[in-house]
Amino acid sequence: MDKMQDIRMRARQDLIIGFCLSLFSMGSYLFTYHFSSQQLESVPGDLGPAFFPRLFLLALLAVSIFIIVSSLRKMAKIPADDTPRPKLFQGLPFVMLILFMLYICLSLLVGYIPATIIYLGLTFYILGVRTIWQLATIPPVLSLVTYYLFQGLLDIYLPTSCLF
Amino acid sequence: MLAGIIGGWNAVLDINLLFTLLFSVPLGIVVGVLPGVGAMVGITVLLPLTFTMGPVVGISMLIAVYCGSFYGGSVSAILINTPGSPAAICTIMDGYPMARNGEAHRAMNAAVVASFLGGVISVILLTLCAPLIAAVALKFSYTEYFAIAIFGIIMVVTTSEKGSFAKGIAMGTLGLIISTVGQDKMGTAERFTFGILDLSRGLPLLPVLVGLFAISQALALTEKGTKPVHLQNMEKRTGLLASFKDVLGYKLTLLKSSLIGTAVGAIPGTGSSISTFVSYSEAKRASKTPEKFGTGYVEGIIASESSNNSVTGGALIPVLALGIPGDAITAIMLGAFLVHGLIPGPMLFIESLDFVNAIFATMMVTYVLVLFVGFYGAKIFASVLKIREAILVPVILVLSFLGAYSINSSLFDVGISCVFGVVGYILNKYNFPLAPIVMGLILGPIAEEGLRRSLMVSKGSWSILVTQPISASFLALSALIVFRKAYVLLFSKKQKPAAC
Repeated sequence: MDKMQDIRMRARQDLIIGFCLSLFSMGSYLFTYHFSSQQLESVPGDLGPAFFPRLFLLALLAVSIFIIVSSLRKMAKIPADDTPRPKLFQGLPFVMLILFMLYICLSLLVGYIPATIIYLGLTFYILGVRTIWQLATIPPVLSLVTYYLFQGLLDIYLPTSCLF
Repeated sequence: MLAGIIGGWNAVLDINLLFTLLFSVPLGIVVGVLPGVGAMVGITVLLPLTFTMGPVVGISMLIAVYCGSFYGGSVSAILINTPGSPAAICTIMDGYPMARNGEAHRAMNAAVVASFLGGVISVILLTLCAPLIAAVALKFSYTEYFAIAIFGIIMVVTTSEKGSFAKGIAMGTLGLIISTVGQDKMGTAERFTFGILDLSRGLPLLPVLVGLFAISQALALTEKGTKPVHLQNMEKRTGLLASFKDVLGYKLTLLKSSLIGTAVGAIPGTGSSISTFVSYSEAKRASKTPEKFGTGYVEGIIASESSNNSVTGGALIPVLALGIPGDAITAIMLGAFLVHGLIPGPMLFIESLDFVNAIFATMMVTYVLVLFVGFYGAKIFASVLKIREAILVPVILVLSFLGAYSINSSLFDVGISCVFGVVGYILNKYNFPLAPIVMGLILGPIAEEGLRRSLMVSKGSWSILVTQPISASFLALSALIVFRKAYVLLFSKKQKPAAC
């Protein structure tokens, strides 16, 4: 990617985040009117529970508009080309995130140790580990060691199976 | 004071603590060695292990990982031309050329000795300065805390390593907004809880940190993929004393860099990258042979390493004395203090002086361990660089799950981590800095409570913020920094995009 494409790509990325932040700040600002009104009204000078969130939400809105405008200006200066559009999530990170969420659900179903062995084995394989001894030893050893460390030594109870 | 220091050393002799340090220092070096992992991920993931430990042992473990990781960053900088952490960025300039010239061992020895000496100097300064600052801070009212919190956020925002000032401001503000989630601490109003009971106490800090720094970093490592690592050949190692002689040949550079590192570390929002650049430039400027810098000159490594390791002591000064973190790592440390029922700030020096002295002594022992473990384990730590991302990423994710879950044995916390992991990954990928979010999250409640209570005291008069000298100074300084940055942003000559 050359320098122009890089600038355009970054401007697009800023535009996306700026747009998301402005929507977030506007939506949240409206939500501040739903805060329950109980506050220290009897104390003179108290700003109330909504003052700080509103102040920061307005600041965030202003900054995100600035980011949007400056990224649009940057994009306008550079002629449109075939710069690839930025994607929020793609490829392996997305797969890893989905697998991580499945792992959390699986740990509730089958318990921590089996879920961790399955998850580690699967992700190692997907990420390119093909050495048999690594695939066969690291997942069970790591699962047992962390289980012993957390549950045995530190008394932190890890998810147990709800099936068995 | 002397009795307190001796008491602190007495605590270090506890066998549990010594074993913990012996385990944590190599672990810290390993997380520092691995590019893309670093102290932030290491401390975040290891934090749950400290929950059932006593406060001294638990916090000491994190401090040992913190200090160890700063030296660890230099190993990858010297051997593979990639800094394990941003702090080691200047170590590359002379470390890698030295390794290529067949002096890898000499470079690594100089790095570990300079790290040790820089760290020890900063711990001495921490021991001397923190109680004095805490004594002054005892007189602070809510107004001063509000001003210092605002100053801290502004500094982090303006010195963010990634992205522009506007992005830093946006992320700092986002952190401040997130900090308002939960029940209003000065009333009963529920803010942004959406009727979810778990959110009433606010967003849990540690799951947010696990998500922002550990999960997002693991996802980012997946994207980068695995690159083959080519380690430089290492020559025969010289003795420890010879390495000390090598480093002490540049006493002035060592002392100056350590003082710069400690001072810069103590300023909220600055951090190790800035200190290492300042020290390296100063060493080069003051040198009689500046042309040698960048060509494999050992003085460059000494300046960089003594400076970035002395940041550790400096960065703990505002945390311990004021309860205000200087960067994202010390923000996590502050979270660890709170988990252990300790509230950092001036009162800590009155209510838990033994603990504070034990921490000072622990840091000193940690640096002695960094010296010996780093020196004699150099080859082992170098081999850590061969660990592939394919192994690292799933392990980090499993430890993140454990970290988030074990805080309250709650899947809600794991969910929070996942959400912030995704948010952190996207923001990081799009060059939005994450450190200001954490600073906003930590300093937001201090700022809000400080302002609201100050205004209650003054019966609504805002002049209270500028009539007290300390708060007025910090607010004026913050305003000056913001206006200067805004001026540069709006009116400076913009670089034209290159022609096609």
